[in-house]
Amino acid sequence: MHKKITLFTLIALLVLLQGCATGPVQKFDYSKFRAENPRSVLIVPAVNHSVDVDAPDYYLSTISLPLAERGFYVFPINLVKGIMEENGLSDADMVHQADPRRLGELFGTDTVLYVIIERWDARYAVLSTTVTVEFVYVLKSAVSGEELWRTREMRQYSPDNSNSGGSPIAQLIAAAISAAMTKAAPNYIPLTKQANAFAVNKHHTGLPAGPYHPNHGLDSEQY
Amino acid sequence: MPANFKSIFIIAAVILTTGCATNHHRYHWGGYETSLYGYFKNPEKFEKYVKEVEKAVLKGQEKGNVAPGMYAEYGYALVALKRPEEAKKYFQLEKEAWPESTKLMELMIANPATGTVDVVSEAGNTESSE
Repeated sequence: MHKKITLFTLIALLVLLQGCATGPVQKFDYSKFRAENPRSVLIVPAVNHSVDVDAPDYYLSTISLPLAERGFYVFPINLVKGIMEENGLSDADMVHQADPRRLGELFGTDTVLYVIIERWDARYAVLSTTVTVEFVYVLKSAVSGEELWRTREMRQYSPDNSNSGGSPIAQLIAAAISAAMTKAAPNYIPLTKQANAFAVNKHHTGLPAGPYHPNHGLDSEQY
Repeated sequence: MPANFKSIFIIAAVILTTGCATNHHRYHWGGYETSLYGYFKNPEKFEKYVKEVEKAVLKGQEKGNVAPGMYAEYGYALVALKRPEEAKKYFQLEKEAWPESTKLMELMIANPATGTVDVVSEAGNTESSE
């Protein structure tokens, strides 16, 4: 009897663990990345395709942690932002189009990460608001100028209004208030952090471990 | 056997609650991300940002896991606060901890005033450098 329960729990556990993985994914071609084996990443201002003018600055505060934890040296965000502004490099569109090797010469970085904010919005639909973030990540070599890695990640959130209890009318009112509040002050940061973590860490499409990560050079099956 | 079942159940519960998130960071980040966001959102929160970066450096030194860039961020904040000599010390620490930063840190040590004007004006400081 107990054995049966244990077996069920084990199976449930396995299912849970598998739940984190997504189905079969086409593995990214890491040959250029592996050949250059970069140590450092410079993050430049993000290009903004959303209507929120503050999105690029807010975004910048979320991206150094996941890359550093992945094992790379990440250039200090606020210092780099200041230096780039000093040197007339604060226009994201211009910086994204320029040769990454120029940034390599200026900062001594191995790679440059270009992020494009595709979506950063809260859309009101009847009684719920859906918050969406979507980013494209492109890593280019500051040595050869070549693209080494690219991925895209989207995350969505809508507050759950289903269990507010009470009469149907009370529920409708609660849902409307919740949706209005989300619309008034949507919090993009937790979603953005999730998107970054998935983009960087996901097997087959994320970034191979950098030189400061214990898995460095040992993860060619996953990446 | 019941004890065994119980332990598996607890492990399952722990996995459920922690989910797919990786909560254990290699480096000490402290309030860096949150205060940087706060500062970008409202430049008057510069002091709060500096305080959090300083704490992240001190605590990281204590634990031996200062995050990449943290010494330099603190140094750059000190430049804005017109404390260039202390700033140089932190640029030097960054360079020693992370050889990848050598080129940029040598530039900062040679000219710690780079960026002063922008950061000070962004911080809402009305003091003019002229």
